[in-house]
Amino acid sequence: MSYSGPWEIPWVPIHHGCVTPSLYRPLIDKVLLIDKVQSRLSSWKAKLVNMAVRTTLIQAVTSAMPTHIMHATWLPMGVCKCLDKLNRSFLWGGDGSSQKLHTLEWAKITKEKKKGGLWLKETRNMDVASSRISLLLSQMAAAATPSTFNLSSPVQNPSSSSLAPLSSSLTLPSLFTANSLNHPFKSLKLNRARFVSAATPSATSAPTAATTFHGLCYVVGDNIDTDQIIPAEYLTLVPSNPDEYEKLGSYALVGLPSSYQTRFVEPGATKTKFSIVIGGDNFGCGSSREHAPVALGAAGVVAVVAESYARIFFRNSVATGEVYPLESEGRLCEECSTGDVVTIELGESETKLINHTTGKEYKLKPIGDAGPVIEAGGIFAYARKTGMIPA
Amino acid sequence: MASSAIIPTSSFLVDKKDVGFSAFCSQPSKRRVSKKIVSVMAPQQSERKPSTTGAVKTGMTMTEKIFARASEKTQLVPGDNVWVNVDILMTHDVCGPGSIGIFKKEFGQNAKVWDREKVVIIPDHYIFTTDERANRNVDILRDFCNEQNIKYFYDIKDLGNFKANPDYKGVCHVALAQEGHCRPGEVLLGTDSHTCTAGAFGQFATGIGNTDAGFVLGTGKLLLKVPPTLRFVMDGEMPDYLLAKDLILQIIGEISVAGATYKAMEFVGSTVESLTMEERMTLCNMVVEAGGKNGIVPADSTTYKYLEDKTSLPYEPVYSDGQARYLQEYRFDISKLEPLVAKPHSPDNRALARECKDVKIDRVYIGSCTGGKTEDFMAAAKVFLASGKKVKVPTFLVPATQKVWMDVYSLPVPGSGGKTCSQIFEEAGCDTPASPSCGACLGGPRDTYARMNEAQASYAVSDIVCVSTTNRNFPGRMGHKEGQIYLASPYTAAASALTGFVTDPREFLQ
Repeated sequence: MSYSGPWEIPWVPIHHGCVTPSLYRPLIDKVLLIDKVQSRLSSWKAKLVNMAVRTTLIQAVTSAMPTHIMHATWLPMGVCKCLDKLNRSFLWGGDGSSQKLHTLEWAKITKEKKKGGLWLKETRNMDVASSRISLLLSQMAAAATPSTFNLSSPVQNPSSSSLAPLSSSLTLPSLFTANSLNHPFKSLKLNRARFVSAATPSATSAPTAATTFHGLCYVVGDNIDTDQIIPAEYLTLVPSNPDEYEKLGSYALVGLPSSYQTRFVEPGATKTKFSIVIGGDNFGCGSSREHAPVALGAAGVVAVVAESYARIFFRNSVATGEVYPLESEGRLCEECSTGDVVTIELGESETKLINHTTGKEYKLKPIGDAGPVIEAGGIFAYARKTGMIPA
Repeated sequence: MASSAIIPTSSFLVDKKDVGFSAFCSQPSKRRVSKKIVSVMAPQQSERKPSTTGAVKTGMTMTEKIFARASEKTQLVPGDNVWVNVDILMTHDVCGPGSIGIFKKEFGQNAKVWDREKVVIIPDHYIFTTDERANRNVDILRDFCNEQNIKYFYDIKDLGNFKANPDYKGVCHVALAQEGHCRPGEVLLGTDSHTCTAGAFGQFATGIGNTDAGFVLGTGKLLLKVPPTLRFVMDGEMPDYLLAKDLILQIIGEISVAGATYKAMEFVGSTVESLTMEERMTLCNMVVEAGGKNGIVPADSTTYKYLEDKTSLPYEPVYSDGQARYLQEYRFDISKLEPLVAKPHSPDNRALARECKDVKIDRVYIGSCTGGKTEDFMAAAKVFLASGKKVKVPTFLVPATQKVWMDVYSLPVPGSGGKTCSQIFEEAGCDTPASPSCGACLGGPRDTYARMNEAQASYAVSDIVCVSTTNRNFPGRMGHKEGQIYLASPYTAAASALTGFVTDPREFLQ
């Protein structure tokens, strides 16, 4: 928990490493977020104003108070729940000293007005939405229309349920509803070339003018070989089988030695909260097993940024479309730490990685020869596009 | 008859001259003693127009020539991306089902493979196990082969007795060679990183993933980039305590695990010419451990002799031109080399075997495509014979294929008075040679023979030290994450088994 450095922003904790609730308790004390909200609420004397006024005050003031921090970092669930509890209590006229009866459940209160709710915001949903707004603004700035986020045709995609189509949910209310949001750390994924329907290659557009990946990063060292990415004992799982595909994801990077203290996928889970892997030299060396990029992709990784790649792993990543293999200009694995919030922007003229946690930006190498294959959507789509095989 | 195809061409003689010239380097470990070339992506090549006789062309290396022929082009330079016709596609039980799944998804459930005689399916990785999914994967292969009428499917049904399966072979890379599927000048792709082993036969052979394999199954072609070539010239008489494994460990230690990424590794020189086919296979096998795309050894009389009784298909070897351009050239004087090991946890963590003599070991593993061939077992037997003593640590022997297993039980070891390898191993106290497969080289399901599991360690739970003739020693390679694997030649492995420490084989061979 470090606050030192010229990049410290008041109120906003800068932390290198994994975010845990225990981090935020003392931080909340320093930032005084909960205290500030609480004192603001009690200053309005809940008993002396009616419910309509209380609703407006929550909507306009206390709901908005955490947004400053939300633009820079995620709030732990515990803090979100605490803030919701304060708002809820104030709404029903509680002033901290006495508990009032809540005659309607919070889930209904937070519904949109046309659905009979008061449209008060849940802190958690606002947190996620604020990251999506940042994302959207960066996309709009790059002059891309929402249709460039045309995610893969869901017909044959077994994981389509986990790909929330952003383009259709850009209306403001929907940004705050729970349904449009899945895992809060899920970032946009490239269409999975392997699941593209053979009949409609053109419907699934790959990254065009501007594509962005956003999420937490997981940092590994040099020579991460395929046995560390997916140990051989799990190779009996067949990637083209949807159930086994998901299971492969649960074992991603489980072969890393115990010197890596943060586990990539928590025991019992099938997905990781780290959607970007940052590596050193010779990432993916060793076996030709396609299970390696598949396991990473199945776990939820969208992109890998390594100093250099082993050739078969790179080739498999491109052919399957499971992870976007990017190369850094220097040793990003020494500049970033596991848990940093990063954004990767793939532009026509420039590709870069922005580390929000450190505030630094890094140029990435252009994709090179593999570009046309990735843009087409994988080796099969490329072959169809170039007429090698019939469409 | 095969001999009709084997008339040395004039280019072969040119190559001979090319190889035998100039002074040897006195320091085998010095890099870049003689740089032969230069720029790989030289654009001026494309501006050259052939003369009226069509004979003015830029010299190409063997790999470039194979690419050119396979992509039906006359001239290629490294960096070109071309669609290449594939001569053989190999897959096994780990990646086969995935490749088949992709093939069916992309080409249709009723699609047929591009050529039923060019697909070779060899179950070898997880065979002798009770793991249900592993067994199911072999069944998936069988169903596919029946449906497609695949000519070469080395099936196994009776897991309790490998000898009851006449078709079953064992480790795919050794089986490919023994069954005559490796031919000079051809393109062989496999869903296994050690497919580069087949480069020993003067062909382009490399590993690919499931998606690429699914593509090849349907079309018989693949988009490949022409690699630049690194040339390794090895001269000098091979000492009798060295094997090809020591040579490749020396090279990987020299250029590092990423030193040959995207490049072809060409092995030439008088030492290479003196190697047998199996030794050349060991040399090319670990090319991928240096990041190499493929390894290649020019075909010669040794190659033709080996292939005589194995294949009747015609083949046309290719050889590098005299003026071919190489990215870099390395020269080694083999007579000065000493036995080596690769210490944990990287194949380029090279060290002299004699410098590791204080490392106490817990077990020895002799097997895999790298070190489980007939000659490898002969080499180990030679050391046990020379010593006459018993091993001090559990010594696991896993012949690569059925044929190797037969040889271990039938071929007499020179100088033993008619004893077979198996007898010598038994007298030395080694474990009985196991059923042929990849075994514990890559860990595998928990019940794999000789796997490094916690449950199987009789003492130390972690930090089990194993000297192995396999190809990789990254963390967890043979099972347990904390296991320490020293890669070594069969001579070094056998010597280490006899002392219980990492041992230079000269202790027994001289």
